[in-house]
Amino acid sequence: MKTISTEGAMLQTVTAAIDWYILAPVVIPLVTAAILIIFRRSVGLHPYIALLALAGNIYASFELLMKVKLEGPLAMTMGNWLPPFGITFTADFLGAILTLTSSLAVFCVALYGMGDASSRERRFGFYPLILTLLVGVNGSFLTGDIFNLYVWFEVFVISSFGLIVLGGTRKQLDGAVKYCFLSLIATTLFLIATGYLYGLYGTLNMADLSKIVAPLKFEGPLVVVSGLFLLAFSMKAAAFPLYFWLPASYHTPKIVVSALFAGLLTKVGAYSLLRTFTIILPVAGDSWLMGVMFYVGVGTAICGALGAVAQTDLRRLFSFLLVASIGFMLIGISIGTETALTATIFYMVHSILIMTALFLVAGVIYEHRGSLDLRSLSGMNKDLPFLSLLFLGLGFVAMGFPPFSGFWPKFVLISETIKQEAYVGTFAIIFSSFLSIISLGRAFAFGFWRPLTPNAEDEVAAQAKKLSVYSKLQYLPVLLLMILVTIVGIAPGFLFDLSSMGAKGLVDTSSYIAAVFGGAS
Amino acid sequence: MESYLSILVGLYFACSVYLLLSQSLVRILIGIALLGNGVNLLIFTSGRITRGVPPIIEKGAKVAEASIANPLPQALILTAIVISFALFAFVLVLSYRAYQEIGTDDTAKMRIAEPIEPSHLPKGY
Repeated sequence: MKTISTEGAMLQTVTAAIDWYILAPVVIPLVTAAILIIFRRSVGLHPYIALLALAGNIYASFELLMKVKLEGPLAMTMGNWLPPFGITFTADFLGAILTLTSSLAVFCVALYGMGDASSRERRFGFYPLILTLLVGVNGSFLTGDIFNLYVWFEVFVISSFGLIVLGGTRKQLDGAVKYCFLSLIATTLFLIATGYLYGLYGTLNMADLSKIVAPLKFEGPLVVVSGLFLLAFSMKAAAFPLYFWLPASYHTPKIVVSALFAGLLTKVGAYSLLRTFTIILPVAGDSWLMGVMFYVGVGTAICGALGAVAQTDLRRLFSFLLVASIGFMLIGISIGTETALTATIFYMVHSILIMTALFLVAGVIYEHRGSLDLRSLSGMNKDLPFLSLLFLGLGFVAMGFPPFSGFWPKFVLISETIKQEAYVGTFAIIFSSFLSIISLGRAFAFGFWRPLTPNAEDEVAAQAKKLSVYSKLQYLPVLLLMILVTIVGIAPGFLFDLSSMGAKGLVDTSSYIAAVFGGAS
Repeated sequence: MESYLSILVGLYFACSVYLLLSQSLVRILIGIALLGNGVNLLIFTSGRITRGVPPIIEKGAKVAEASIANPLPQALILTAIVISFALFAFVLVLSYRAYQEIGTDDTAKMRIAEPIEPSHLPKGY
């Protein structure tokens, strides 16, 4: 019997405790979700436990980001198997920034849920589901293995299935059918692409794939695989022409649930595109396929904004704005220069925060008026002055006015499209922003400025009596997000530095690969 | 062997796309189930087929003596089966509930969330 050294394949020592840190943003919500299911009878405790854990999760994500900032990308492998054998977790700047942002967004959603999720809905698992959704999203941001990415996709997809039917009204079931079927098909397409990728190169580790694919030509089966990835992730990110499921479903579930979806889910699709076409398949990122993605992005930005102008339901209006924002990201990814990627990462962070906030503010409006239909909403600047100020502020953020966070990435992206002579992109971004100003301006004019319509007075008075004790508290998460985007807007330097380091790591993959394989040499 | 399986996978995908393009929820469901099975077969094929040598290593040894079947696709497929089974069970129940509530399984008639009649904002106030 031969004796074989396992030195090249396995860590000979126990993984240092500090390396486990990278798992914290996944493990904390997962364990908390399990604890909440154990305490399923005492649903009164759920929000407190969840909020505590989520606060801890924000701290852990922040520490992870600081650690990445200090030491560069971090990596750890499960079960002592060295890459590419074991499943790798890799935290680079991109992953760490997005993990922190999504943890912040989920914290705000959980805070809002305190007043919004009834005890019946909590018994059906509202809090465990939002936590497992965060597990899936954070896992996607941090994993370094493409099959593992598929598994995390399914983790948040199944959680979102549970959340979208919570309540079970007719409208919800109709929206859920569209959402669930198309999500399932999109993730299956992703799995098909992963299967081909494995068949071609025999590995699923992102850093390993990057090394193998980098010297290849963009031809043959690689084109098919890249095209499939583009298709699958565009579907998940709600890009033109595959976005119709989003405005068909995002206005149907509970408002707090749609806030969570709007903040996180499409961004994971955009993140995966960013990851796939920079680190995993670098040659595809320099090919004609990016031209396709560019026009997909242009179509998304314009169609999304056009859709927003046509809506009368506030949540559907926001859904279309969400689609338009995905278009900006796709334009940024397809241009693919370091500056464009910096703007894309910045814009992603901004979009997670602002989209959550917009849907939550819709929730506050619904709480006070019992409707989100702009045909009947009216006169809110009279009796809800603070809310109208908040709505106007958030509107400015979403439109991209300075000094808020939306301005900077749009500014950089527009100047980069001009520099790269991609004038169609310049036009799309400006035109789409212009349309979003019209749609949000109209929403403000009708819902807030318009004097209270005479037949609405009784309804408003009736709704005011129904206000829950939590109605004041529901301003808090919106305010928190508003403060965050304002700080980011006034002092964008911090986030810009982080985003540009993230972009640098995507353009020059050597630090990512070194982090994964560093332990092996 | 791989070529035959590839053709089979292609057949699976073709049938499933045909069913997915249908308007009836039940057909779409069957299409999704077929698609899931096709993918599993695809991963199995892309891991290369080796006949008759199970990937079992003798006690005490660190590597196999002879060449063995690739065990990784099996792990991947197992994961994929579990996931697609769970999700399929969910959408199956969802379709049934939607049929109960909405009274149709024709996707063209499921317009509760997006009513057909146009809604316009008034021109002014």
